[in-house]
Amino acid sequence: MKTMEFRTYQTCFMIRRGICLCFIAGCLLSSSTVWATFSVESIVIYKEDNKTPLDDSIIDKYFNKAICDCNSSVYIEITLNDPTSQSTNSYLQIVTSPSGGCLDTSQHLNTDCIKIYSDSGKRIQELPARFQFAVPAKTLMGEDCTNLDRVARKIIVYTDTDGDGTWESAKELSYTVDTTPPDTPTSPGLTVGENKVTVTFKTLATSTSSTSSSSTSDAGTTTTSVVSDLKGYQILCAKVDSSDNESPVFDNPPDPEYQSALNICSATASSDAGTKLPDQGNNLPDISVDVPDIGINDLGVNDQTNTSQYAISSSSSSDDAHLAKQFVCSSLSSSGEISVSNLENGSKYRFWVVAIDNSYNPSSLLLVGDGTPVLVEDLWELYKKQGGQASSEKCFIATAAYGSYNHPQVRILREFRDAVLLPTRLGQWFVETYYRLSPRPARWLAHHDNIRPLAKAALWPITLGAAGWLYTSPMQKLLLVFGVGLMILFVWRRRNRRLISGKESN
Amino acid sequence: MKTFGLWLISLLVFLGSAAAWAQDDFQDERVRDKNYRSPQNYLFELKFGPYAPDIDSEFSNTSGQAHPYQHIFGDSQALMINGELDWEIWRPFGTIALGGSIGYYTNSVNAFVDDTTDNNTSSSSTVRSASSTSISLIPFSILAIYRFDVLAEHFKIPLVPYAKIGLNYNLWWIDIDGETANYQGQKGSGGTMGWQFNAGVSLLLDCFDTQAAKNLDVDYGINHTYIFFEAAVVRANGLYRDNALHVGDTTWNGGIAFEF
Repeated sequence: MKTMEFRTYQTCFMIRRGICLCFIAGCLLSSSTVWATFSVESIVIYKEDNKTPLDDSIIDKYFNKAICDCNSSVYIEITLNDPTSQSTNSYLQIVTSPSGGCLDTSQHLNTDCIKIYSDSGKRIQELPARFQFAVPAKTLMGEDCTNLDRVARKIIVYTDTDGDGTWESAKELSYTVDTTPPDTPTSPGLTVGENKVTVTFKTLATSTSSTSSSSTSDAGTTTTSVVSDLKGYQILCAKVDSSDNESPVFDNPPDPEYQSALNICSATASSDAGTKLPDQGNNLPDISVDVPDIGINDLGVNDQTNTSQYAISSSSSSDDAHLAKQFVCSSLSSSGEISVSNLENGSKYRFWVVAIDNSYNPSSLLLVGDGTPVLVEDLWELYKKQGGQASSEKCFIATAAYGSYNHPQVRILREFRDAVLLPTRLGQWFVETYYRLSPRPARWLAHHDNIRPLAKAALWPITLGAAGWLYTSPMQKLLLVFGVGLMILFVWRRRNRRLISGKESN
Repeated sequence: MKTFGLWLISLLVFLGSAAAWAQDDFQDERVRDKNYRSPQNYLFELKFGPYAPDIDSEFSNTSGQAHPYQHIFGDSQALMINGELDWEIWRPFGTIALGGSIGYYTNSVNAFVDDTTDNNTSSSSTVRSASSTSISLIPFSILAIYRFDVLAEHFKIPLVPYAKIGLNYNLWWIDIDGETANYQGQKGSGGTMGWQFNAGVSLLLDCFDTQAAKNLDVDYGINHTYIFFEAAVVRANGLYRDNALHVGDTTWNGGIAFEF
């Protein structure tokens, strides 16, 4: 009886526990539905090719004067987290603004904010998890993008989750706009050399302290800090003919480290603002890029796109024309002295200096002047012209090792053979044996250039001994022999002493 | 396993500290021993001095007084750096040693513009161009050395006069804008043999801080430390060769030396 009661109790307890668990699970599930977190995961800007994202290393350098002049489009990609969880009254707006943001004190959007996605906002519920749209670069730069000196701007995604017209920032992406070119260098100078010209100029002072610079934008003024904004200098050059016409110098010039409308507008000729994102695999309909309500201007592609045969007549030369990449003649340098080599002696060249800042803005060109490379007279040439007799042969020996029968060291050995060996019977035997055995190793040596220096080194003491014997008097020979013998004796005696002291200590 | 690891660590710590303690004791003993000296077999020198190869001496007997080196480089001198290692082989009265040295020298200047129309006439232009011409040397030498260190060893007078004599071989090359110069197919590079004589005096630094000197000897085996000054006569004219570039000089050097 007790057992049955206990079992009944157990069963009831388990049923009650199961119901409780189900209730708790249901609560949790429903609460997760209620507490589902919508968020804007990311904002990414892509270059005009719609493939290259502007990452942290380039986003503060990309928006420069050339981009402003070309007015190319960039692509903005927004990634959302769980947009379908939002109510029908939730809206999303994307704007570009100065760094201060776009809301007034009552959380309403400022009327002068530049909306780049939709004029009135989009229902979040209807948005795909990821979408992309094109925006003219000038719009992101603040429409009037001239003379902006490192101005901070943002792309901000605002959300209005209850549809009451008050917004809050869900995600921001900061970037910098710099359309102000650096100052032009001064004090140009030029020195010609053999197949080269060295250009000198006064470099610009770089600032490491914070400075305030105000710039007028659509949302008012802003202040920025300038920290050593100069990237370096490059030399531009052109070959000048008798009619003063200029033409490029090198077939494969160095790459320009600056961006000018001339060089990059041709790369942005395509104005295709529509693209499809890959299927996200989440049963969302295929998305097409939304064209912003504000409308897209023509990209204004520069007519001067083909510079491969670029030549400038003296009457139409201009800074912009010389910024074509065919006129680049040096790599980037921070020095105030830059040499251009591989030029033709006797040909006239014209040179300019361009300063480049970290946003790839080029300065106005500094005309250095014309120069004609000339022949020079180095020390060796002057020495030889004045009758210097030194040869370029190094002091190593033997015909096989050095390949010359008339080499001075070979001559010494021949003299030694003739003067010392051949007059004696022993010497004659030695010479005959040498001529019988030496041809094969000499032929092998002649065909192995990398072994020759070793052979030369090995024969050097022999030649030195032969020269010492040939060119010294009998007394000098005696002193030499005595000196060398004494030295050998000292070394042998010292070695013996060490051995003895070593044995004694053991 | 854990117990074994602890034992092993403890043993290593004990042995290590015991060894350090013993070493310290040993060192202390050596430091305390006034007569202790580590073996002394070698001497190393590092020295610097102005140098200008006497290329023009080849033309001293010719009429017209050609001075190609002086015309290009003027009176400028550059620094010659030398390292030398001596093996002290005998000390009967002073120290007799055999040594070898290697050095490096380079001097560069902008070349003159060539205003001539043929390749055999020297330019008369005095306008410096943008092209740089240089001469570089790597001298090798073997030397016999005698050091009169009797005064320092026995009478505590910290001066050690010395003399060296030997043979040298000097690799040289002349460049224009970083490339070896070439005149009518002849490359501006080669080697010149010669002989040299150096004489100088060293100042023994041990006397200024005997304890530091002792510690150097105990810890690193450096018996003595010197600074020195010497005169050098380098006659690198090719010895028996007539067609060698003269690259010797009469100059001075200063440096530091360690005996160990």
